[in-house]
Amino acid sequence: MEPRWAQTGRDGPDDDDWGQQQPPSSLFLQLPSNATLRFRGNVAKAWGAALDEGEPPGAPQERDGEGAREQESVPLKQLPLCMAEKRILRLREQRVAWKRSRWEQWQVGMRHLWGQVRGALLYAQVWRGSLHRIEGHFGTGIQSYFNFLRFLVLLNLGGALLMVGFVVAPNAAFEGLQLNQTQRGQNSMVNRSCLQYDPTERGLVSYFTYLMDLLSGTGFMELTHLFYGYYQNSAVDFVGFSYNIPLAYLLSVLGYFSVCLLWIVHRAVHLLKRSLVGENWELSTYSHKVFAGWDFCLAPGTAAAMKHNSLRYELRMDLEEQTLRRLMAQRSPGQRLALFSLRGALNLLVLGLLGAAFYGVYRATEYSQRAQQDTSPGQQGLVLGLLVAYLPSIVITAANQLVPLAFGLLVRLERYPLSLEIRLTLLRTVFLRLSSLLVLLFSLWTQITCHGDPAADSCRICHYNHQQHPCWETSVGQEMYKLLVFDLLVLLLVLLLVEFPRKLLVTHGPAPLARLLGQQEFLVPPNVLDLVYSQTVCWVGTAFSPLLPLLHAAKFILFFYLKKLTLFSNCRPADRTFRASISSFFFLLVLLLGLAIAWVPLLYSVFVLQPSQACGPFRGEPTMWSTLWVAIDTLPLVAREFLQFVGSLAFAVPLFLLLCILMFYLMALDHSYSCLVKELKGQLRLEGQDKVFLVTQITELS
Amino acid sequence: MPRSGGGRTQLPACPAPGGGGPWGALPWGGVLETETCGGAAGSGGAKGPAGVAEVGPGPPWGARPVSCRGTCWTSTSAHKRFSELLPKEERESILLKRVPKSKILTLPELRANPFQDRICRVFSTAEDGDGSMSFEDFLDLLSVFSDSATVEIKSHYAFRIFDFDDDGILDRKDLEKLVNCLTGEGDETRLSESEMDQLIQNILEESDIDKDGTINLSEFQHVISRSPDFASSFKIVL
Repeated sequence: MEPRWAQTGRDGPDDDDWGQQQPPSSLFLQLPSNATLRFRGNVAKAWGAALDEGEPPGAPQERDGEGAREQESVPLKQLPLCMAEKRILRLREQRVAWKRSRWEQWQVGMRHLWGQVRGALLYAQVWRGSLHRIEGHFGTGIQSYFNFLRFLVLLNLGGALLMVGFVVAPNAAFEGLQLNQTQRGQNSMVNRSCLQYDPTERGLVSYFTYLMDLLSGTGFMELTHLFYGYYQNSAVDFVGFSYNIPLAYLLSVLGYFSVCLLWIVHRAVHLLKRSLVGENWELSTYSHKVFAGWDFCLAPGTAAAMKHNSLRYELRMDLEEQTLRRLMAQRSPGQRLALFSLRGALNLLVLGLLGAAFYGVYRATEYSQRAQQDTSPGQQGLVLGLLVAYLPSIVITAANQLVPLAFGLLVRLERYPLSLEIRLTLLRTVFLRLSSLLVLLFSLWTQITCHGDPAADSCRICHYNHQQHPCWETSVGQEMYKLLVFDLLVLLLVLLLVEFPRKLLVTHGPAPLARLLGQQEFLVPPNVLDLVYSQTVCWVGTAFSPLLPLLHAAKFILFFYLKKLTLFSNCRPADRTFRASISSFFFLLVLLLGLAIAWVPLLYSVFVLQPSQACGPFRGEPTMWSTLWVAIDTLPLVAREFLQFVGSLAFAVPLFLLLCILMFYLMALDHSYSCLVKELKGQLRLEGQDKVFLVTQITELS
Repeated sequence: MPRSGGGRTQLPACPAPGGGGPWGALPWGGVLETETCGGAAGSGGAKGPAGVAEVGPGPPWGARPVSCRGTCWTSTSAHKRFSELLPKEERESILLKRVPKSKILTLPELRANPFQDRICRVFSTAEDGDGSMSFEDFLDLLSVFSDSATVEIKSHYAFRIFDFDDDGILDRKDLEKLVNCLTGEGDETRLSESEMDQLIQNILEESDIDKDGTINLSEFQHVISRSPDFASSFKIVL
């Protein structure tokens, strides 16, 4: 398919003397599309030779006035010229500089300043050195995991700042300064039994009760700033305004969620700014793998050798997959039917596994809550008590580890292409992890609201189960706290008891065993899903435990160092290159999904459930949201009317319709753009053929 | 296995250039220690560090070393690394000397790179084409491979690096050599004939818009601009 003119004047290149071929036909060289050659002069040997002419061939010609202004619009640093040529251009620019108006000078100055600010910010990132080391040894795929972890640390620190600044710190300050707090929302019609709530231990408290309390958030930890139950439904009056504690609590929780949402969306869009445009990125996988495949920051040593291997492996796999797809498309209807029924059966099996896992979590939560209420910790002994308290966490963690293994085995039987296999397993694992959390919350809900039946025995008096859960928000907060602690414990245990021993066995143990086990590979997707799960736990629990973001930030910082330690000590680079960028976008999507799931319990508790009467900043209120309405009523008339209008249907429905219309318009626009792109590609093809034809004709005629 | 080299990377850029001060033609905001003065309106910069000789028979515009005001680490560490490659007696006149290709390739950042020869050739401004690099070429290299270089300039240089026969386009032979560089040296690491053909066919299908059997610069840049991985992998940091 090579055009005839391309073969003129060129013999097959030898590997060793690249610089000594005959130059291609001179007409071809003058075409504008061969810009790279033009920058190097007529002979593509050394482009230092261009200096002798005193005028770099590729440099824009000097024009005065607007020509010079056009030149400035491309900063010097973006011109692919060598240093000497840039210097010449700079000289020329400076000669023209005094002709510029003040406005343009200011613009140029601002541009320089902005460039420097950006450079400084790039330097000021946290953990830059560690990430650079990781990139050098293991490539950008694994570095993306640590990038994600760093993002979560920053997110949690930001959220913690918000929560601590508006909820925890003012309360601590008010207590410390012993300010006068006026109680609000006292409802004298409340039944006395709803108000009984006393989690402090009486009598002689043994040592291990303190340990139990620390690990499960009960006892002395319950009435601290950590949990919802400690805060009061009161306001503190200052000169000119009064600090309404329940309102502050509600607004800072809602604000925290909104800030997280905006931050994640901003980062997701920023990561994929270019790739969102135009066609499906599926279309360029081979080109991307070959042109952008080599990590230039790899250090010499085994990392580079492994990269060669992994690139070769991946290219081979993709080519095999392509042949496989072609074969698959040629299957007969009978084979297809058999395959679909097999896949259907396996999917049912997958659903069965999920159902079993969820049921296990449900029963474990129920049992654990009941056992904790029925017996006091002193009677059980430390280990048994801890086991009972942590039963939901244990079951969830076990399900999260074992069920994906089963998924991995099942998906291989379904005979999908490899990339689809990976994606399907990932989707199923995501579903498992986030849903098991939901099942835990559902189980708690059934206990708190007596299966949603307000007329049931235990729930009739206080509209919630006040005997089992006198302060139900704190119970939910405690469950989330226990999940946090257990996650950290599991990481430490796995590190000490599985990863380090495996490394010792592989390096010092007998050879057959070493070959069987193999050195551990740092798999990015399961690790990232772990992080997403932890972050969802944090979000769900923040409304009920304001210090949870701070604890999670500390936990993630610890995670970073421990994971880095295990990476460098125990792991080898992955076999298959991990496509960092698209997967980063995918993980942010999953994170958003986690956030969406966390909104559900939050909104439900805020709008529907009755807050506990005995504890918390919303005691005595019918719902948490009613605090906001009461506060709005105190605003001036105009603001009140406006906010009421915004909250009503008369505003929401037209807004929704407008957004739908906008979405349809954007879809139509997208469709027309892709049609345009196809047309333009066809035109380009024609132009290419024209060019070949013309150059051949000209070469023949001349 | 751990990287050698101490100096840190991407650091705050130099102060903004004024009328004739150090010019910021490098992506990380300049440092280039040489200043353009000579014939035109060059207002004098600060004096260079003691002991750096004035340029003798250099380029007509005469380069005077200018001290960077202490904030431009990148070039300081680049300066240090480059001068380590020169023999001791030549370290004073670092701006004049060229380091032969064999010495450049001892840098750990380039040693493991399968494109090391091409990189040296592309960035070298030596007239005899032997791939030796001066300090300015070295800085050029670092600036193109830095974090803050744009995708356009990176893709331009990537195209030049991948263009093994220097004819301004990527044809089948270039692509074949490229894939062989990626999969490693040695006969057993290469792809088979049929695999290679299939792979190159796929690449041309994806990237060659005008269907002439070759990939020119704009097609290459079009494909690369859609790869979000490219900017982060096309990076060398000291």
